[in-house]
Amino acid sequence: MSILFASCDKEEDLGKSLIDTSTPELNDVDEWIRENYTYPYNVEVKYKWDNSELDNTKILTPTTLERVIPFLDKMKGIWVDPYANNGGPDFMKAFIPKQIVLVGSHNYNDNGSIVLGQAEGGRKITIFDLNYINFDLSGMNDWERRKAMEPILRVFKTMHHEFGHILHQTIAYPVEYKKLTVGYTSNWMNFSDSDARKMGFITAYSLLNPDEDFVEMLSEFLTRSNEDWNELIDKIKIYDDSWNTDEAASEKARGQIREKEKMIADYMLQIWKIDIYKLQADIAEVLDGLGN
Amino acid sequence: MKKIYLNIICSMLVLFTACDNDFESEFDLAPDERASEAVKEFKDALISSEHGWLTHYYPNPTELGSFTFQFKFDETGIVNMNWDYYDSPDESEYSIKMFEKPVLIFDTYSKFSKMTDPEIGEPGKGFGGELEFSLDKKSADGDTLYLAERVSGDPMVLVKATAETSAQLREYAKQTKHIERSNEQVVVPFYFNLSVEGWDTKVNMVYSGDKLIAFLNYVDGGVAKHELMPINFTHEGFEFHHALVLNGIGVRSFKYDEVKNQFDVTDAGVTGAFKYEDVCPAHIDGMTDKFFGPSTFGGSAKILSPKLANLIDGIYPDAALSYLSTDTYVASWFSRTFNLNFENWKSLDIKVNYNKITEDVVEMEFLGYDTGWSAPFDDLAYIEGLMATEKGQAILDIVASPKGWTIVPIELKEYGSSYYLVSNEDPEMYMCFGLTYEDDE
Repeated sequence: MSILFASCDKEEDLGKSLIDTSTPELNDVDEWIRENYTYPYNVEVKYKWDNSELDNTKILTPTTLERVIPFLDKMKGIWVDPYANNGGPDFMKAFIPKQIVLVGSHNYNDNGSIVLGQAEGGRKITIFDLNYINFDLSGMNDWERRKAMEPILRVFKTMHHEFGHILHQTIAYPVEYKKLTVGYTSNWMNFSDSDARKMGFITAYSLLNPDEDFVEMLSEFLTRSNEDWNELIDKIKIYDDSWNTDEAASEKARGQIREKEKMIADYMLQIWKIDIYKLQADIAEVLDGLGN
Repeated sequence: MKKIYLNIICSMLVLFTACDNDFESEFDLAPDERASEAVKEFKDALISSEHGWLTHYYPNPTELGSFTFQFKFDETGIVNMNWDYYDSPDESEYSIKMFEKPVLIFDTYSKFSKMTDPEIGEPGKGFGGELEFSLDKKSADGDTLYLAERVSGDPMVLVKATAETSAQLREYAKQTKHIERSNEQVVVPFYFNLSVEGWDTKVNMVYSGDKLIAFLNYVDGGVAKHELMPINFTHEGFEFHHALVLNGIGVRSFKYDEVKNQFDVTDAGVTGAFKYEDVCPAHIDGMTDKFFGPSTFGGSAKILSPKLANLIDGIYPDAALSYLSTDTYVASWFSRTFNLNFENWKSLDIKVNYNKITEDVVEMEFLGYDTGWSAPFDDLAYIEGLMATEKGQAILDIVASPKGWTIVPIELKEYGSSYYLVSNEDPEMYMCFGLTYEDDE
């Protein structure tokens, strides 16, 4: 007992804390991130090289410093702000991934395919390719602008895709969604997007499983204007052996995708109080500003 | 019962011993404080050099030569840099973090990130470099820092730069041109040989500019040997990645002598020089089969010696010569061709047999001409008319010389090797398969 009391002596000097609580030196990019992501949404954005955050079997490079703010600014306009405006600020504060890791280079798989983004349990999103995304489209002709928009749309589609996973993993979409189309397969890479649409799936990757189907639908829907979306669906055509349009089959495929769209719209409105048509319009306005 | 008492007493003794407050640490500072000190010491060392640091960095020392960087670290976490490849100042953020050792990290994209960029070098693999380096040790005078790649452990040595280093860095690329002799109109004799006093053999070197690597060929004790040697350039010449030791004499460093147009050995106590000669110190087995035997893929020669280019150019009045090529060896009953390709996408195809004279000498036995699908080379009489001229006959005399062509490899790979084909009739006539000058830039 005497030993116990001796060890509890309050007068003993414990010395200075070994934990370094000083504020790290912040550059302009760090300050911008604090103002726009950390303070409002409690998000840590890691743009500096940190091997421990990445798969160290992959060959990667860090981001170019001057690309960080333009990218994050556009990400805010195309993903964060529209959701915050339509779902309310608390919605985004609750569900935005708390860590975003930015990587400059492509992320190659052994088979030569490229990983666009990775999400880990709704907590962390890693985005690749940053050094290949150019937001300055001034002076480009229509064709050049369309080509330059491809990586932009690809990366923000990835953000919406991964965020869709967070939403349905928090509250599941109706089980009926999984029964709307049949033909899910792990060999999705053997199909083209066009093939998939004829089967009632919006992209080839949607064929993997219902969860991917759900988030592919959501992300494809949100990264194009309603006019473009309708055109995409209306253009789905299936031909018979004589190369005549099989109207019944075409209408069935279009109907299946429209049914999924309706179910997603209902889910987002009932569960998250978000009108996806309004959300789509808000995002399209920002994307339109980029492209022009 | 006695045993129980004994155990209790022993346990109490152990407890009291363990609670000894007079324990003295081997160190004056706590572990965290020592870690902070190590980080600070590393950063202080990096920012201490007025002109920064010079490093010959080998991103993959078994397959690639070195890129030379000058780094200037500042207090705020910015490292300014330039490299030897071309003059292009750049900067990156950097940080020092403590892992098992203090580690320097190049945080943001810069010229140095090209060492790990999957788009550069082998697709998806890059050059094989790293972005994180632990500090192994510091020289006693503080002028050299010995770093190691954090994953592979390969070294990166930082040597304190001087006021002259920036200007000297611009001299590096000139040494490449001296080796490749790209400023010279006639590149003969052909073999770049190293002779060293005390060696029994000469060492031939073929330089591959796309990988900054030397292919060394020599005979040691009667056995032909071949070695890939990564190199780095200096402002005076170049260095091997490691010493080449023969007869107990090692050489590594070379300085360009402009008057003699040769590279002199600068290693202490060693006399020798690299210079172009007309003797091949070591022939390489298997070259004829590899490049001209069954199941070979053919190839294009876009680099020609000026003399060979002058010989062929003008044979076809409608277009200048573009490049030479050989076709794929599909089947032995199908004749093969040596093709003169012109700027207007037409080609004059000479039917040949590729005969193996030795392991690295091939003869192109003349069989006639192959007619193409479009005019004028669909007309055999037209082709024969061109080749019956004095120029045409001179071309055939070289191409189909019974002395053949010596194959001098630059880089040997399963696919996509590069090599020179040097005429044994006239060594001033040669062509290079597998490389273009654009690849070297």
